[in-house]
Amino acid sequence: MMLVWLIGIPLLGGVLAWAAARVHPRASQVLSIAALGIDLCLALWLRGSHVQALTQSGAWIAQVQWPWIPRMGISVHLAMDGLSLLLVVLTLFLGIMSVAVSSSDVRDRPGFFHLNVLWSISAMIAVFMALDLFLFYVAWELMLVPMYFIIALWGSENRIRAAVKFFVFTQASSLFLLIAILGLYFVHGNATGNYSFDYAALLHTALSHRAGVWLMLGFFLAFAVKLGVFPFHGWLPDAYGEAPLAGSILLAGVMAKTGAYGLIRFCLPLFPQASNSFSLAAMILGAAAIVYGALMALGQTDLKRLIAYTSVSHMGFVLLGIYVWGQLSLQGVVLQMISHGITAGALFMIAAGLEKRIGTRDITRYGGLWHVTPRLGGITLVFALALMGLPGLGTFVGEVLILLDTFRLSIPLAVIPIAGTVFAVVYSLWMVQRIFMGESAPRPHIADCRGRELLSLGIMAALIVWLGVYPKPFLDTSAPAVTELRQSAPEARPVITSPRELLARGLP
Amino acid sequence: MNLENLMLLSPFIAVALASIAVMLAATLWKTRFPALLITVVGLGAGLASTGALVGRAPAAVTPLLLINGYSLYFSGLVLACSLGVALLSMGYFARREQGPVQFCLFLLLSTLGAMVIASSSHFASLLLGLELQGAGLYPLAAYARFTPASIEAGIKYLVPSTVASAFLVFGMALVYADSGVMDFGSIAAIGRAPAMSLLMTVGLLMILSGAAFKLALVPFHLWTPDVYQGAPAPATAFVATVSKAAVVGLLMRFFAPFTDHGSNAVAASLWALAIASMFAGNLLALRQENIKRIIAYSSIAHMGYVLVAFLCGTALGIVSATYYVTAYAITALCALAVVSLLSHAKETESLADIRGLALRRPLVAFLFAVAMMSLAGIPFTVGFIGKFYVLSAGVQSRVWPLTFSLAVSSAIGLYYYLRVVIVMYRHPAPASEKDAGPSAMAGMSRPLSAAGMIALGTAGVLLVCFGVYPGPLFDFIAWMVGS
Repeated sequence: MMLVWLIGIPLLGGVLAWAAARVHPRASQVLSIAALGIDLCLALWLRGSHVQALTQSGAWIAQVQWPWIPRMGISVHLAMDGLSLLLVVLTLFLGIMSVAVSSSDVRDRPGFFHLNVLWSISAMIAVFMALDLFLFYVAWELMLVPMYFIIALWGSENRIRAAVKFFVFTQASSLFLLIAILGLYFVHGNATGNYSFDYAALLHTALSHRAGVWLMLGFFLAFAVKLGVFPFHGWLPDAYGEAPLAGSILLAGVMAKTGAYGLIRFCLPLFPQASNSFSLAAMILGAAAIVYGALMALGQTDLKRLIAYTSVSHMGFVLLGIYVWGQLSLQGVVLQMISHGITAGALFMIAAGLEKRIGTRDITRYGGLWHVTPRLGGITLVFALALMGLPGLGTFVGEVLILLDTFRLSIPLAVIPIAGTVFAVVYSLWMVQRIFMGESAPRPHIADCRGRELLSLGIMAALIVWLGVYPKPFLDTSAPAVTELRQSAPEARPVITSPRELLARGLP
Repeated sequence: MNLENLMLLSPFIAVALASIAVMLAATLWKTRFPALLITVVGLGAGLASTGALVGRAPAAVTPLLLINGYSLYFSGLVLACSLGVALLSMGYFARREQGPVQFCLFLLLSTLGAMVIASSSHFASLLLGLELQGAGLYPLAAYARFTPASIEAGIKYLVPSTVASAFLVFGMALVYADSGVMDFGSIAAIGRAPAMSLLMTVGLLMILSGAAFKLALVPFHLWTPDVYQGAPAPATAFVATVSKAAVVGLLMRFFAPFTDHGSNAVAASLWALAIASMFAGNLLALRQENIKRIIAYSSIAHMGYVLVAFLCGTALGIVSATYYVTAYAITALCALAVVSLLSHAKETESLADIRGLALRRPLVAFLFAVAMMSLAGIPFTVGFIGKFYVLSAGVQSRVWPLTFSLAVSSAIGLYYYLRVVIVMYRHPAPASEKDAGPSAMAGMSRPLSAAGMIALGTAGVLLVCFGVYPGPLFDFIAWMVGS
């Protein structure tokens, strides 16, 4: 039942926040934060009260199942393991942050804004917990609608174009996901007579190689578009760039992770053999995305688009780590997702703060801000260092874990990303240099960050340091889930021993 | 003709009596209310008597009509949509000089025709039904006779429709010349035979083109946008729901035997029609600025989706197609109810007219947005469930070209549905623009008709209910259509 509350509280909170806006705009914000806060406490309580379950491998922390459309074998099946838990906590944390920092900018219809933010959070939580593929698809689609409104109504100049592009790209890929889900459903049903959309039933479905590859591609396409994997990232810079602050934080911080989550939870375990034969291509895509995102980030002058391209680069690591399918690499992926969520969220907050102060997102028109806003400069530097993966910060741990496992699998695949991180050093430091160093253009007085802005950025900086210095609690939470996933699909792990063999194998 | 047969015909009798009563009422009272009341009561009685017949064994009433679960379901659907249109017309004509009395009459006659189409089992009754339905529809489309657009709509529907009827009759003649039979049962037997004569094929294709015209499948769709745009909003709702549902019912009943093995010319043409309709409908809607034209083009695409399910040739396919038609009828009624409710002296039909609607009328805007989401196939709406069932049928039968065409074209379609939704939630255009003058603003603040709101509200509630919990409706359709 707890899981239903996790989804239900933001839903309810959204309606209340919408109604409260008629009384006072601030009331709507406070109610939203309260609802998300209660939800976060609930999730943390689940973690705390089920430590036992977490230590036993394969045990779900909580689970509920009710029939929904019995004729088609559809049920409302929600479950939570360590992986879901971490992502739900991340969602709620970033949700609170985005509501806290953004609503002062949202003058237009604050109630409807909070309704959309909370409902999209609710749908994303449902995505992380759905174990029935039909339910998963419903949540997967529903999270687009409020996000579409957020971008299209409260974004910057080209918002409608960006919102439509976002919706059409992701929906088109989702339809292939739906077809693939149905394909799997019928293959499984025809073979066993048990027509069901349930995850547990569909695991270990015997598939011919050809069917497996096609169905896997359907899943991969939908998840890769959400993740923003090169070359499926066309919508991403526009959407991230044009969305309002809360939208950017949720898009980069959480919605991209739903793609990674889908790959980990569904794509590889459901189609281990097909994924195995596809893994080399996926890993190359991941490695290419790392370099491509970093190079594109170098060329951007719009700060938000720059951050968007760094996301493409970081999600490349995630894709690589997922398809390596090792214990370490998957643990690294989980850490990378959390630390990227926090880093990207914080950077978007900084970008919004700078835009409010200077009046532009054009990075070439910043400069010399260090003397005026030293606190903001310092915090920006922390997150810029996190972007390039400095030891002691969360992203470092994630990237190292991923690269360690990749290195054991294939040296060239580990070398390309390292080249990417060199570019990351360049773009992140150059970004700081262009914003804070150099000649200051003559401009009216601007305030340094303080109050709520400082507090939220400070919390996020503390978290990213925590993740870098002592990631054990996070790793312990996700370990049983990762072990269980790997055990359910050991065939998904690719076998590449040497570069020579890599060349001999060729592309699948 | 015994009592049992009269029982089976009671829905037809109810609607026919109502139409006569409307004519009498028109001479007795000068006010509009009695005619509307009689129409609603007549349609309600028809719906009730259809409901009372559910569960009976299939029975042929004369060689012309076959009353079984399938025909009862489609008759019920037609009657329910027609009832919705009648409720809409109450509010719509309350704001106009022109009375609704003749509108009610034509509505009833056309509904009767649609019911006959859905129940027909013989060429004679099919032709009677189609002509009766058409004869009612031309005046409905041209009903706002003081506006040139409406007259144009009437003519545009009348002329091609007559040509289509001619094709249909000629096709029937060819089939009859070849086989010597006119009842659907015997023709189905021919359809199941491995080979068909050329004469038969040509005849069937001509019948198909007649039906395709009524459904506005590409390339028989040219009349659609102008008729949808020019006709008064309730008449547009009627064209979009009642006449589509009846003809889909006929199409599936008549052509089902020919889709079992996909190698004949009829099945191949249906494939081509389906794919062309899905793509052309969605692509042509992209650049439209008029809501009624958008709905017109989208209806073309949606009939293509229905064909996808139907062409699977499986039980799931037929049930899914029926579900989809139901879903589409509910959604289209909901969308056009909004257009009808918002129309005052001039029809509210361009995207500019509804800009900022959500700020003035949040509930209506929300229902319209939900209807657009349903057309786009977003979850928790009946349109999504319909699309889900259609895709299931497609995947189960492995008709990949159709399934992928559906996926790609509906992703294209998303673009224009989203446009309509977002326009309502934007701020109104600055008042300095001349066209959005005081009249449009004044219209926005007047109360909406209660009867229209009942129709809109019912459609909206059904739209969400069947989208969240579709099981019972699907089971009911499977039971009705399967029996």
